[in-house]
Amino acid sequence: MIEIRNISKNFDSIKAVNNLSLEIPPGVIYGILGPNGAGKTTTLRIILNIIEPDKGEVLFGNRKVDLGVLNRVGYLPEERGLYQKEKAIEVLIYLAQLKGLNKRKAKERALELMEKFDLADRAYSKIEELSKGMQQKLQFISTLVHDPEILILDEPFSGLDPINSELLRNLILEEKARGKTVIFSTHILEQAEKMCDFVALISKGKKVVDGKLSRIKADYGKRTIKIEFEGDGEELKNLPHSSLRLYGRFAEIETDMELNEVLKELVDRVKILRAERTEPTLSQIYFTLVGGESENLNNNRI
Amino acid sequence: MKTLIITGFELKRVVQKKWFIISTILTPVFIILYAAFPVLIGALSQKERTLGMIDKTGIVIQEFQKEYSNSTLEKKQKKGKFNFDEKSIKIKIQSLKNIDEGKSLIASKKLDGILIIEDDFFKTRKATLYMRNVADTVFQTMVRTRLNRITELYLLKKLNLEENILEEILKGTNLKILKVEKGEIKKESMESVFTLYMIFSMLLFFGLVGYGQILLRRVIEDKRSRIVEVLYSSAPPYQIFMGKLLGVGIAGILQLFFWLGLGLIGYFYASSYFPSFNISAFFSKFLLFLLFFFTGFFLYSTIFLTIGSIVETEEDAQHLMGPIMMIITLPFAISFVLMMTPESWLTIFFSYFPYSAPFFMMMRSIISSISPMEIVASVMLVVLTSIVSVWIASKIFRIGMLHTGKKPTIPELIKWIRTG
Repeated sequence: MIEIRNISKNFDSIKAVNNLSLEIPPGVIYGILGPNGAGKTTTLRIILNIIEPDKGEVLFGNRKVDLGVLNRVGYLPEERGLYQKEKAIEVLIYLAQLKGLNKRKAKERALELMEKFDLADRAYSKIEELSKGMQQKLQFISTLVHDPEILILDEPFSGLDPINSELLRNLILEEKARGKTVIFSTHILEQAEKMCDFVALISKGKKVVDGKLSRIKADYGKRTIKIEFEGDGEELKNLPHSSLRLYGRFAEIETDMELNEVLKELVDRVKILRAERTEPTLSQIYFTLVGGESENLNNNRI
Repeated sequence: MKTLIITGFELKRVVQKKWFIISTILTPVFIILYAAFPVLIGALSQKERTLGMIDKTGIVIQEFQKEYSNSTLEKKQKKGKFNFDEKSIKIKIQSLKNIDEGKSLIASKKLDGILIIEDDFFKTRKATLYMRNVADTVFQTMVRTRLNRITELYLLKKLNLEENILEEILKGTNLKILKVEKGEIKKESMESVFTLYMIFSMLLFFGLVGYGQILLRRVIEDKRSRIVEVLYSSAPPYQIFMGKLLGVGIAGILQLFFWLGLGLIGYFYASSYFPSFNISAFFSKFLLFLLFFFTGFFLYSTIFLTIGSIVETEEDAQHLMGPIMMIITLPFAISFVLMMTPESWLTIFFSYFPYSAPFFMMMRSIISSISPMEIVASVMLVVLTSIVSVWIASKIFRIGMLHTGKKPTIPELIKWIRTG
């Protein structure tokens, strides 16, 4: 269990993290979600002891962060880079040694992972000679090379092509299956929704909601009806006890009304092509809870 | 100890690079070239000059012609009677009718100079030399010396002295210069002492600045690629800081030892050519040099590390480095000027001021004698200042490496030092 207790961090007058508390159970995929500037990276850096909080503390199973703890953590920063002029294998060995592995073991693990990611033939190439995609894979390996128990990934999917994105997704699921804890931050809620067991939604350095994803959905999710239509979307407004989001030919209506009742209301206003009742999405929950503050957060990548 | 892992990695990153191997091999070549440069200049300046003369006394030109006739030169060469300024440089004398003839000969590069002697020369002692190249000081000195000689001779001859007395009077003095160190007479000449200090101080300067620059680039790379975040999540910042410092510093020391080895091999093969070279004295100086290199390295490198950790690009770093390089170059440059006065208060001051101490202590120990206590005191000061600056720099490093955006202001830096 990783416990984050009342941490706060100010940068000059900006409250990057404001009295945030989280509990991260072992063996889960935990998503820290929020728009850019919500304080996700700062929170992760505090967990990793890269920066110290002004207030509060982080405990790894009742133990304060020290080198022994950090040796069991693998970290993938949001902005990535490795020593361009050095050989891939040497950088991996170096980073593994820094995490407490001896040289022989480090080399063994590095080669094993390079094999797994189809990079074995480039082990002795300089990093600058590798393609961008290969460098991304190498960066994943550098995070995993010491076989950490906890993976902390900051916006891991940003900048990845679909192939590496899929690779990383599988990797995260695989590590979870091996009993590891994965903590990652993202502003793409759909991604988190598919993968996370637990999430924390944060906004402006403060926690909006956290806990088991299924539970959050049950507690906060309104029922949503999606329709595809022809006609003037404005006609869909003013439905009783509902809120509406328009996407051109599509609309999402959050309402407690039954589907039949809604259709009855709308059938005279527009031509309905398709209608379905759906689970509430995380972004809908976020919108509901945070409201207009989260304008840069939606289903699409920003 | 994670510092050791970082040290090892950073060391390997330096010594495995092509440029490191190239510079290790090329530096001795350049030093030899530097040492050979004065000899080369000397050789170039020894080419024959042609001097056009308009001599209204009729005496001066005769003496010049006598002096530079082939038979006189040969005689001198046999006797080994050359003064420093005249070594084997020949001057061809050509009598001119008038100045215009001379000017056109200079224009066609057939003459190097025109010497005009008025008929009252021995009274006024005034003569004029028109030169094709006024920077040719060797030529100027020769003409001046020769004119002095001729005048002396002319005046002495009036006294009707005997030839051998005349020769005695005109004989030059052979001043032998020896160095006394710790009550013992050393065989070193001024030139060898100067060359030794030049080599040591250049190695020191280029070593400190060169390795400092490497550190600067390393730190900027770490910061820009954000690999520093991964490092920070693996090791405490001061260990990363020390690891980098030591790794690059040891690379420098290795390079110096390689050169020392090369020098020793060279010495054993060619020792017969340098009979006056005192190998044990050199060794004691080299040890002192190593001591000052290593302590000075910490002092200078922390400047580079600090700059690297507060900027984001190499361009920004170069802007900041400009004025700092001027300050760093100063002790190196003025140590050559103050060589003349190794005991002056200014020299003593600079040999205790930490940022100039490595240069000035080296210089003083080579030029004159210096007590071990003085060396200890000066090294202590350098070490103490190094410790303080490592401490301050590591604080700035800790926060600066994660800092992005605009460069920090001085009050911000002070805050970092307090909280880092």
